[in-house]
Amino acid sequence: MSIKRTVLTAGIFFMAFLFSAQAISTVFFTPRWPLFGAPSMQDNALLDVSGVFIGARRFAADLAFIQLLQYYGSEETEHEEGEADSLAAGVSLSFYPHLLTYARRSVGLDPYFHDVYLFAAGALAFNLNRAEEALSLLAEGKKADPTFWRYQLYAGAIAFRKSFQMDKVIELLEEAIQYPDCPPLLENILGNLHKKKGNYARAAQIFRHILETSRDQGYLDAARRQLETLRSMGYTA
Amino acid sequence: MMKSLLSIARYTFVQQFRNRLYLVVLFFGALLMGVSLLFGALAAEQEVRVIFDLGLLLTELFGIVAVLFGAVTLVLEEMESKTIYLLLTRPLPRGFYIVGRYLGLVVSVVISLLLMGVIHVTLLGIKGWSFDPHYLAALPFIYLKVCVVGALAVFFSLFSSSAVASVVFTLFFSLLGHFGSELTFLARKSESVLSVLLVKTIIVIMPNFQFLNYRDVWHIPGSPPLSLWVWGGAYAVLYAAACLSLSIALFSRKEF
Repeated sequence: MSIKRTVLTAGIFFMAFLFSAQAISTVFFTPRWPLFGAPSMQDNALLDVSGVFIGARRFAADLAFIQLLQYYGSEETEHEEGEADSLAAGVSLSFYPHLLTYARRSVGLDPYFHDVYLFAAGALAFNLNRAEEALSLLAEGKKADPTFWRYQLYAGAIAFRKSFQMDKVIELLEEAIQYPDCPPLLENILGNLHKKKGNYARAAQIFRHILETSRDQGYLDAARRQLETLRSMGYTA
Repeated sequence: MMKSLLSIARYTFVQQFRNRLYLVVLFFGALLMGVSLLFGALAAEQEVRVIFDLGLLLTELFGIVAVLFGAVTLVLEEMESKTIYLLLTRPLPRGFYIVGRYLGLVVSVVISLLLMGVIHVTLLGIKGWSFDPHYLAALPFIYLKVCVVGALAVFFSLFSSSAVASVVFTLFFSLLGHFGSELTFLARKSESVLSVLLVKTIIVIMPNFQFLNYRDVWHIPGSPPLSLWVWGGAYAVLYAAACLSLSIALFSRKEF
């Protein structure tokens, strides 16, 4: 094939792929990620940008979530997980002050990473007594993905928690734990709420479920301890 | 003629599997798959998601590395060793040589991608993953990305005649290919006409890998149905064809 013909062929292919690119843009909407201008933690900006550069926003968000878990799991350990009501008196905002920032970093990379919203909102509202932060995070989640209705379910539970309507909180959390994406943090909280109300049988069932399904060693240990306590009181799952 | 093309493709395919660098890349990829288990352990409840994402990412990265190093040496190596003269003395159109070599390379890479996919699915199965058909859709788009990168690498290897420069140019284009949205935003914000023109030219010329980034966007609500991603496949094939055509033009001009 002569050079002229080859270059002409290349030109035809070039125009064809330009046409297909234009067709893609107008025929359907390729999912638009938020621009990489979301508040990102200074220390990890390079990691996040690298993830965007290689088209791995989901994985970059996964790494950010792992760092969130490490942050939340590594500092203050003076209180038991899920002791929501006892925390209401005396918890200071200095416990995990950057939890919301860590969560925002992860969802800034992948706004459809539902589990981050649910986990962080649960931790902020029920463990750290920072309901406003939790509700603002859930509002961001709802804005990113209005179809994921469980944000409203969690927001409702948090709102009732703020007004100390614990029966309503239990009702909403019971609904939330029916779904597989419910973080064990919330199951743990629900178990503790039932235990406080004297519903020991139901509490034992929930802790048994955590033991059978969770992959987090912290929650497994907590569930084991709770079951031993309940067993000593004569209650089993 | 087709027989010649297929013969070139076949010997290229065998050559890639004899290439020690290629085997090292495969081994390294399998090793890092194991590392994904470590990340999975750190992620607790999101273990399966992390292994899923990391495995697909590594499959793509190592596929790209394998095709990149294979493509830049595809023609350059034979030119430097002068073995290309033996082929060019035959009544074989130069275009057939380029296409045959490219086909052999991409077929060998698809085998490696499939092998990595098998390892990945096995790891996921051990961790309790329930099969998700999106996985089967993600792999072809990874393969198409690899094909585009391979075509780009062949073009740059003939354009620059240097393996190092080819690798750099190809990687640069590949990285920009994922940054389309941000570049478009910059173009809109810029006040300088020249910089807007420059950015828009870059966006048009570089491959738009967002059309092929199915593995990163399938979970988004409202994401286009799989059938519409066929357009992305068509785009990849046409882009690769354009790069190969230019490569053939460059190769035809070379004097041996």
